[in-house]
Amino acid sequence: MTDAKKIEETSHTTSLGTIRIANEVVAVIAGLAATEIDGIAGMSGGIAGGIAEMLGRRNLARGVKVDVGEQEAAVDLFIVVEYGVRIQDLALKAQEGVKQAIESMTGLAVIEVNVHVQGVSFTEGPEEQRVK
Amino acid sequence: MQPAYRVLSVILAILGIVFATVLLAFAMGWVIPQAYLQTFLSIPNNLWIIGAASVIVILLGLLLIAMSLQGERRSWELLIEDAALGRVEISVTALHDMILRASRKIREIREIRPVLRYEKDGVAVALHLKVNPDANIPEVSRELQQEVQSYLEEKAGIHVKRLRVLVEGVSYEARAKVE
Repeated sequence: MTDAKKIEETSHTTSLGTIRIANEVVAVIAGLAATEIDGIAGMSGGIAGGIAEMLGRRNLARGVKVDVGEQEAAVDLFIVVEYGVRIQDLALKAQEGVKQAIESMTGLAVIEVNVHVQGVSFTEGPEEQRVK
Repeated sequence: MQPAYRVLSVILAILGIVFATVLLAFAMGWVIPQAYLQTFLSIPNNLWIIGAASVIVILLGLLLIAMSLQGERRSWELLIEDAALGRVEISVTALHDMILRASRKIREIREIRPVLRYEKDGVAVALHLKVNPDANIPEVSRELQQEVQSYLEEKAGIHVKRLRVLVEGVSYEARAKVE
């Protein structure tokens, strides 16, 4: 191990050499795929994540935990949903979207995508406002 | 953010502002605080006071750092679904948020505090309320029960085993019509 911070990564050897994918990359792919789903207001990252974002540092892997092996990956998503969405339907879309994104971009087989709903967004839509 | 964290942050921020203001005064040549400080420090008992106050401020600062590093506790989570693609769970915080949001539709409710308990075959909910003085309490309670139960069962897919409404008081400040 060098003095630099050890980066967790997955390696895959081909005839031309080794392909390495940092675990954080898998987390970022999952995070981006999740935030594109309509109904997900954001990812839940705790106080540290909130402070980092206030300082202008956008964490694309916020609210995502990944467990990556040689050929498989398991993902945990911690999300905040919009008010009024049906959680089972939204979770299914998120699971399918994240699985498809990781498998197509990294070649890893996604064995599970667990969705943890941590909160509900209180932002009102235009149709809910009483006074305009 | 926890209330204790907020209070501690405000206290330390105020102390920091006061201290920095005094230092700024010194830097700008204002001698009165310096003279006062020298007189204050020349009395032996006052050193004990300053020492004790400093220890308290240091401890408060360390406590704030510890609370920051601890991060948010993950509250208990309820399993909604366990299928081939993975599990879907919802935290009690999210359920609280959903109940608060669902209860907003009922204008007669001034304050609401949900208490949830996970039981083997569902969730037991107790809603502690304060209502407006002109509210018809039985009607408001029934409406709230229906609203919360249908919302949790339809949108979160959880079984509400029991839903109690406890009207704890009447708020004499009517809720504003425009927020």
